[in-house]
Amino acid sequence: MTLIGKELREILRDGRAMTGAAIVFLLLIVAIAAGAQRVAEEGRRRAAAARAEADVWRNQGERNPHIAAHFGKYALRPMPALALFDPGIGNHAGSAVWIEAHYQNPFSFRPADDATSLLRFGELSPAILFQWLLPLLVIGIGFSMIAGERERGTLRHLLSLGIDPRRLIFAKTGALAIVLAVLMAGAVALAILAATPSLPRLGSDEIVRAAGLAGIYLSYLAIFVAITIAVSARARTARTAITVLLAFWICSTLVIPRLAAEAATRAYPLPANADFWAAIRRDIDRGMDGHNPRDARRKALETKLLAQYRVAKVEDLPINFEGLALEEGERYANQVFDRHYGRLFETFRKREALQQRFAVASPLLALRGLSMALAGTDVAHHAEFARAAELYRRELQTFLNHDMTANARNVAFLDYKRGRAFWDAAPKFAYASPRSDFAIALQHVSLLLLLAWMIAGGALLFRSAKEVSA
Amino acid sequence: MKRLLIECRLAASRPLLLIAALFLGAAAAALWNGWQWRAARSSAVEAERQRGADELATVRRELAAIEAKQLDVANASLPTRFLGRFAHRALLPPAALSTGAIGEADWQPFAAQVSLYSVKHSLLDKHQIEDPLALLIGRFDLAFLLIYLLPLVILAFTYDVVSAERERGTLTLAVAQSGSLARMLRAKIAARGVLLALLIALPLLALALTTSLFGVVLWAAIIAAYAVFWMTLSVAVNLLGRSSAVNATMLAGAWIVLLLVVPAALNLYAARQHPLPSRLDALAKIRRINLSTAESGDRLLNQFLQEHPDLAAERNESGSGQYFAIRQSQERNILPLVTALERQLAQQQATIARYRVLSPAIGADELLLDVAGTGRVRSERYRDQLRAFLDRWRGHFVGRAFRGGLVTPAELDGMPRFAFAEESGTTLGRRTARGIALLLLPALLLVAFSTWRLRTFRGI
Repeated sequence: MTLIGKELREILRDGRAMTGAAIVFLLLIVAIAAGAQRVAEEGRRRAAAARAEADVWRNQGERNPHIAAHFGKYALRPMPALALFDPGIGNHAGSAVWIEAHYQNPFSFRPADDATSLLRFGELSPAILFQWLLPLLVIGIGFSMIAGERERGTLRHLLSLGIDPRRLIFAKTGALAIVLAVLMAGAVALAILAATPSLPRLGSDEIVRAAGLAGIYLSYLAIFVAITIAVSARARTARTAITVLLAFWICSTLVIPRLAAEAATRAYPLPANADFWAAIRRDIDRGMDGHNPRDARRKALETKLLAQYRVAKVEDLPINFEGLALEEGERYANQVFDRHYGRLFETFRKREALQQRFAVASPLLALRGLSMALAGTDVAHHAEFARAAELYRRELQTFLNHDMTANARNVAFLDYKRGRAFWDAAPKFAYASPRSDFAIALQHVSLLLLLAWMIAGGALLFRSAKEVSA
Repeated sequence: MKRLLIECRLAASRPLLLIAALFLGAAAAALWNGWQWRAARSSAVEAERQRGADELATVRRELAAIEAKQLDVANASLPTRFLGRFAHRALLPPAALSTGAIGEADWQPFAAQVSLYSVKHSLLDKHQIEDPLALLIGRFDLAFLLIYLLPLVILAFTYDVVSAERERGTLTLAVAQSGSLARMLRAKIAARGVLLALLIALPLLALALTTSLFGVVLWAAIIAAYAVFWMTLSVAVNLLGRSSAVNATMLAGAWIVLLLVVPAALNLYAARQHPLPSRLDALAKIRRINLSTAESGDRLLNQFLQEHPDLAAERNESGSGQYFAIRQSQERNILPLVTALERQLAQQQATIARYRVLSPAIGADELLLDVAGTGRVRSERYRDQLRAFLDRWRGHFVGRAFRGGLVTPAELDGMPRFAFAEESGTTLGRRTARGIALLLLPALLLVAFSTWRLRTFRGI
């Protein structure tokens, strides 16, 4: 215990370490406060846009339901509360989907569209600070803890006093961990106090997610503490220690993540935007197998209905043929969308899975996916919202077309109109974010690799402690 | 000269050669990535062009068939029947230097369809399908390597240029040999500068093989200025007289501050100075405008024809005239909202340009992308040229559309075609020169600091 106390005093006396710690501390507070404000603002903006949309929909006046379907609606993704910690892909993923007849639209309104060119340098989010800056602080404080003593000759002195080298190393590890823990807890507590008015209220599931985030980030930093002390114990000079540690940090945070992303892009290419849409149009027009064109499908429907109701002309059908044709058209197009969007999201998923595997060479990669998943800001949560919005689109189209089929008989298409009571009766979009087990389900590999890094870091530390010499 | 060679040989230690080799390997990979990206973008542009050509050919074929009474007008495709539907593909070819810097080109649109129904505010609607995770992480291109990793290589070459001699106990000897600390430092920095120049020159030469020499020369100037900044920073830190390990942590801290903290903080500051009404806020207004214009198609058509009496005489009775009038009215009401957003964003961007002297990384990055043609300037030029082209298109086709009837092949021959006009080399060159001057300002300050420290240096 006295050993830890001595090590703590030494860290606290190290002016450079304390300056670095103070800067990180301030940045953490600023980032958390700014994050809370950003999430609150964006959340309000989306809620206001959703309210305005509902209002426009309700007050669109007397119109034909299919015209209303073309006018459509925007479905807005609610802002996940923990995005204040890790914004994830939020800036690049779009916040709303236009729900309209005949088409499943991709996301629009990306915050990045309204951002300056600096966005590419990255945001100063708490997650980025924890991922990039804190490991650097660990390295900055810890690299010389043993190598420095060895250089100054004090290590020989200590060992000659009969101090167990393992106890010495663990005292140093403990001291470094304590400094870091106090720093983090202090910054988080202060920031939460300062940002209380704009903090979102967390539900029980979000508290589970937040606890998960705390767990993985502590593990991540523990890996860096273990590696830093181990390298310091093995390096002959402080200079060698810092060089090795910085090289490791550069690879882990800077080089490997980008290389992994590039490899994933190369392995699973996306179709060009125009090709994607051309393929959808072709499948709808000519049929998914290329032998079932739209006109033929319509004709087949007509023949089937005439036979079913035993009448000779479309006008004699007891239902509105246009309405049913629209319903059938939607049903067919939905299969086409399922195929193409299915492939698109499958490509995203495969790309992410490939990047996860690069975590073997970078603890950051093991952490990043987990962090975004727990914060609800990863591609999987994005895709889940897209799925829910598309289900809603289909529900709404069915509601609108079904009304035409059943009630619009013997009226010219555009003369059939509906009013506010009908718009009010239309299904409404309500989205509930998936629970935390959904977040973890796709991240087993990351979790395993993070664990593997911890074990490897611990093993390295133990071995270095055993072999330490002056 | 001989002295320089000796210093070079001394500087090129085994770890540094390893770092240099790694950097060159990474540069090769980055160039290959950029080259692949540019090839893919070229073929995407070409595919769009081909689609446009195919559509035009279909229209011509159908017109000929109608004339020969082999095809009924009702069975012709939409672009043949309604002139309003006939669209021209206005394409942005990939920039010459995008092999070196993909920049923002991976999410900025590069293709638009211009027709009579197009409106200026949504010519470039971004209904795109990119991978948001890939956009977040960014590309592994040469610009990334130069902005992020080159400084680290420079720091690895120079962080202990004085402190190592002192730690080995050879500083006094080395200074005595050279005559003075300043001369010793000059020789060492010159040698490292030569090695680094070689390191940068190789990928740039490879880049020059694939594209315009002018752009690569501008790039070389930008990178040289950026490298000079990091070298002067390293020398200044060395002259503080601390140990190599301390130098390394201080320089790594400076790297983090200049590449992560300052850009993010500046972004926050610019957003606070010129807050942007978000597109989501504008959405509600746009939706209401769309709703009210859709309801009042007849009224809008009459209003439009009152403003354009020449077209009233030619009015045909199809619904397309009405739709055109609706679109015009939407544009008149919505475009101001959109340009207000664009103006505000441009002001944020201007604020950043003013303060980019705070971090040479921001300045160098912006200059590299600007010269590469994958930054903001080129995509904004594309947007503005598209809007001007839409006016030309309307001028050419509106009268015809209102007169009704089918277009003739001769009229198709005379239709306007979009060709993106690149910025002149002089304008780009001047802007880049100003940017480089700004980039050198912090380096000059550091040189002044180092000169002062050299006079009072007591670390020997």
